[in-house]
Amino acid sequence: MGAIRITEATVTLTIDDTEVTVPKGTSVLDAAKVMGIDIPTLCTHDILEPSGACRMCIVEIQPGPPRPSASCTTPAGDGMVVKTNSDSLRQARQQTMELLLQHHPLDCPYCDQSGTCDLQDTTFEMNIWKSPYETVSKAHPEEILNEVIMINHNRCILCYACVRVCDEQMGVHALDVVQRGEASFIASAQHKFMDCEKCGMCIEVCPVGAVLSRPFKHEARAWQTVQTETTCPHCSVGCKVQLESRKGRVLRARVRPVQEPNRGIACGKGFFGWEFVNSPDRITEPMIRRDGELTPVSWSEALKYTAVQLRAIVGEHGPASVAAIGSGELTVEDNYSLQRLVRGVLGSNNIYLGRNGYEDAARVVFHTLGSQALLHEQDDILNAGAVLVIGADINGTHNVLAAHLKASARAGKTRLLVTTRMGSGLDPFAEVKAQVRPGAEATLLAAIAGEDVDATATGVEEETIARIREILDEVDDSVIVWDTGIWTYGRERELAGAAANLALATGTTGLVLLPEKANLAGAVAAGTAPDLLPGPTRIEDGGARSRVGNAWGAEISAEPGPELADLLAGGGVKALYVMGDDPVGAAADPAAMRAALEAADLVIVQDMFPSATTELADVVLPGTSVAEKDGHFYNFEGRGMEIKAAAPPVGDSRPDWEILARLAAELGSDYGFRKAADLWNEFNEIAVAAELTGSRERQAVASVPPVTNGDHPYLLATETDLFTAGGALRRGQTMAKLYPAVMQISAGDAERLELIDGDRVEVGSGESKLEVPAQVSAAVPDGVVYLPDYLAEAPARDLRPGRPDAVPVSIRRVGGGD
Amino acid sequence: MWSEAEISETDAAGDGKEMILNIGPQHPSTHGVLRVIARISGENIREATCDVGYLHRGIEKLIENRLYYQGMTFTDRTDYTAAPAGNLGYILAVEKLLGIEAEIPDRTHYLRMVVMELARISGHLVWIGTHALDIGAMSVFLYAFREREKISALFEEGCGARLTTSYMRVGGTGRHDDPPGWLDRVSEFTDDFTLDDFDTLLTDNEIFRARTIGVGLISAEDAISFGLTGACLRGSGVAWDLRKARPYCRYDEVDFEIPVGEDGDVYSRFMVRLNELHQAIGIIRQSVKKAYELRGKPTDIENAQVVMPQIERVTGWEPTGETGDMEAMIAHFKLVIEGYSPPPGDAYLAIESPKGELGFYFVSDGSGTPYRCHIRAPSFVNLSSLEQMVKGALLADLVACIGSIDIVLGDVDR
Repeated sequence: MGAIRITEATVTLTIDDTEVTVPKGTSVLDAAKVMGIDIPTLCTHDILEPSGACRMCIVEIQPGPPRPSASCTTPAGDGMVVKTNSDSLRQARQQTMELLLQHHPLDCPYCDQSGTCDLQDTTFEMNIWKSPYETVSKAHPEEILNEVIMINHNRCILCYACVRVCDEQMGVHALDVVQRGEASFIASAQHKFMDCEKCGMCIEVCPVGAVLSRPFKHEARAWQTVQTETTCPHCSVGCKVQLESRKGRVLRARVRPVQEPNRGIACGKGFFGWEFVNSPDRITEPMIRRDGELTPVSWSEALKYTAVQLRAIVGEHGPASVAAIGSGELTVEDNYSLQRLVRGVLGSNNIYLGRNGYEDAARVVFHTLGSQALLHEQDDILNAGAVLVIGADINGTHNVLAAHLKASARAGKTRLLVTTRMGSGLDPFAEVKAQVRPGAEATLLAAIAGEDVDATATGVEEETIARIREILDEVDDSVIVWDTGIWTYGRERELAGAAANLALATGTTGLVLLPEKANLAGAVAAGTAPDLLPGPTRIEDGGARSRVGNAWGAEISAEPGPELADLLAGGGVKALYVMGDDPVGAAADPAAMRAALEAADLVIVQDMFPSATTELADVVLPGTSVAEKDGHFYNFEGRGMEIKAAAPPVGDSRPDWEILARLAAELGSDYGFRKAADLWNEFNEIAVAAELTGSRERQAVASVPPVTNGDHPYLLATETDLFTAGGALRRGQTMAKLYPAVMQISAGDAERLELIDGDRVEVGSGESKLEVPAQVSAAVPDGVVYLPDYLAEAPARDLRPGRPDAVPVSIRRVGGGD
Repeated sequence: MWSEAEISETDAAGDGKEMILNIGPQHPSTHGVLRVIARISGENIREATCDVGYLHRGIEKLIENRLYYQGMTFTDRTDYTAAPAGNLGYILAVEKLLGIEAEIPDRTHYLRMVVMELARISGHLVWIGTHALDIGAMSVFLYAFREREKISALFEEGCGARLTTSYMRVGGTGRHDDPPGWLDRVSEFTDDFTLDDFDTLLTDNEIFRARTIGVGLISAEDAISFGLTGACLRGSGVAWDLRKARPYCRYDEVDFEIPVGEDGDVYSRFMVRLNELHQAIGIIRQSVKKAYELRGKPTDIENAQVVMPQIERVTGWEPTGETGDMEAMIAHFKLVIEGYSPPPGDAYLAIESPKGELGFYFVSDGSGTPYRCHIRAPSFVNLSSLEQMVKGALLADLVACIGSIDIVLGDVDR
């Protein structure tokens, strides 16, 4: 109920002969709702401000004008006497309805909204027997707005919910009303192809079947689907979504009911990004490499083989020869199960998290500013005096949080300072907007902190830097927000250090790290690190060790595992267990990783999709997607988000925690877990997060912005985009359509290079090169080219594996478009 | 009842004095899959009991898992010799549950009564044919089914089906009002219909009388304590008919009598049913006359939440240039997909079916499907008196008794 604003003052009014006291500012509609009086509405929505468009919620108010008033837009006043259900009101509502239905096409039998349609429900409830008018069809053709959204004007009842949600909630305003009166219709605000964020919220809030999802069109009827409330796995906001599945296939997501953290909205990834679950590329059966070929085997054979091999390796080379890599894309339970297998059953502390930008940065923040500075409630961020966004565009990486930030900035609750590298959807709401050169973010932070650095390399003007500093000093509480995605790889410590220094200099209360994967925070908490036990807490902590050891009935080594790179380089790893990660594809040094895996006697890979790592695996075990298992994620706030299975596992795949629990049983140490909740309970019993007051010491940061040269005159920026997140997401056709593999370039540079949209260009870094179509984009500054991560067709990581972002590159046109 | 072990034990004893005889479930005289287990000594039945359930289909549970309008089709399959009777009981109970029973137009009620009484005749014709056949009179069966064929044809014309009619609709007649000329053909049938054949073949038939008079006695007191209804109760001299006692439709507006027997034997029940055929013809004549008078009046109530709109209003109708109506489209869609939702509460309504008191009990939780549906099936209750009727009787009397109770196993087992 977005309309209720809680204030201390109250008003007392009479609705249908009953007195009610509500907070001042409450609408008459909401006051009636509190009393359980049902007033029909068509244009209200829990997340939208009232607009009074449909005229169904009319009531008679005394004292007041001698005509019905819309109860949604009328604030309750002291002494009001309201009638909600008189004969004349019923008649007026029925006439409104009859006029709406006069033009409505007879589409119920094939309309996607049928069965969940507010217009149907209201008409049926009002029990209208016959139309007094002859049906007049408007006969507008269905209009395709973009890759995923289409509109059927004939079905539209002009409630403007789509227009309002796009503006109020998403801050995009891609839709608007064209014409006036009877001729008005909903259209793209740009009067062309609707180039918006494709969040799908206009589809979600449409009370009728006017705004439609193209991927879902005619897939299923509303009453045939099974609804499951779960959590979106595509970024660390952890939006609650409702999956609709039919006959074991996930068909679409909806965003309901309104709850934390997404508060009734979602982005394109959460709304359309579920096709990967049904991808034909999924690994569906366990496989063992025999004579160089991966051969399908039964589960019992695969587990027995793995157990025998593991036992032999541990027996021969000792526990330290075994290592495991967990994943921030899998649940807390999965990671907990893996580290328990490694620590409790195999006796090794060699448990690592797949490559990410979160872990190291979090350690820096933890040690400098303390545990308090790390995790923040969303409201703390939205209501902070100022929010400084640096680096990657969080409107692309963590869209829902960005949407909330936009609304917060617009409402004047916070001051938004945006220093992204690309043009961002946050820009229109920012008080200060600066475009920083890729690779110079740490330098910019140092410059804002007032350190003696050369700010010219950042591309941000002195006055802007001074203005940002001024605002940060003005407000009591401010936060610095950044995405820990691929753009930070190789300089996580440097960025976190620079941010910590700025925080120390300005009194910033928090550094908000937005993990690039859904459950990085949860994976760390589950103990997926060589020096951390579930909690997370330091492994040196004897009390924690004995607590965990007692729960497991095992002795836990106090010796933390070495750095993964050192361990692999030393050749000490004889058996490597990889769960839900592609260490070869993501490695800082792929060749070394490949060599290390080839040198190992046993490589076990447990994943949904084939990858560069499965090619080297001796055993491949099929894990399920999040849509097929129960569990929990920790979102960026550290909030436990529940995941529920919406479909049975594809093929022979099994939930990852279950595979590990079965393997442990095969190794002679049965956990006794039969469902994910057992693991969650045990984890919560033994996990105690360590608390620490930070050192609050200035960090030495040596940041050198990249320098372009004549051969490589452009800087390549690589980020997680609005439609790229993880390898799995891109397996869905819709996502591949929403961001086809293109490199974005500024109009000025395109002119210099004589490029037009679709021309193929060769991007070379000296080390490597790749070919990709170019696209002119207003969001990209001159001298910079943009290539999102996770594009299978154009893997930006390959250009320079160790540190893929801010790479000086050459651009050469190699041919025209198709 | 005896356990299977006891049954085989008694058989094995072979002392020549008593034995257990299974009659059915596959036996032509049991009118379906009824199994009667009789302890006999020679021709004399010492004791007999019924084993029912061979035709149990879980109809009550099936109804509870379907929308109200879908559940009605199962009532075709309880007493399938007179399917419209089951239909009528069902829809009247649902109408009571919905609280719309007072709104149903007169014309609809009279049309329902025409169909209901035709169903009674149809059901009784099956009874008289098979009852006589069981006792050894072959020709009656042929005459009875010749007449019944005419009623089936009338049903077919009215609703499209002959046996599983699903004739009735909640809130009116739906499509199944009177097609042009149908009432005339019903009148033709009532004019032609005669009981003379049956009278001459059975009523004064020496053999038939010998087989039925004084056989299967049940006193009025016993009949009431067994909960017997219909002809079984009236044959014992109790003038109880729900059409008079608790009138539904417009039975209180037509003249008819309750035929009552005196002796409580098979012959009394036979005479009661035979006279009921007379009375049914009378009710049909009066109802047809009323229906004629009310011609042109609507048969459906105007309640979009209950009555399915006619398809012309939904899709438009090219011959008349009528356009489809969105209100009708929505109502149609919602009714087909979600059905109507009676307010939370319960309702019991019973009608006088050819077999006796046929009652439907519904509990609604406010959703589109019944929370509970119970069917008070007359055949099931009436069958309970068989044990008493045949105690000490001859084995051949058992056949006459089963026939006189007039059971349909679809109704007994549901």
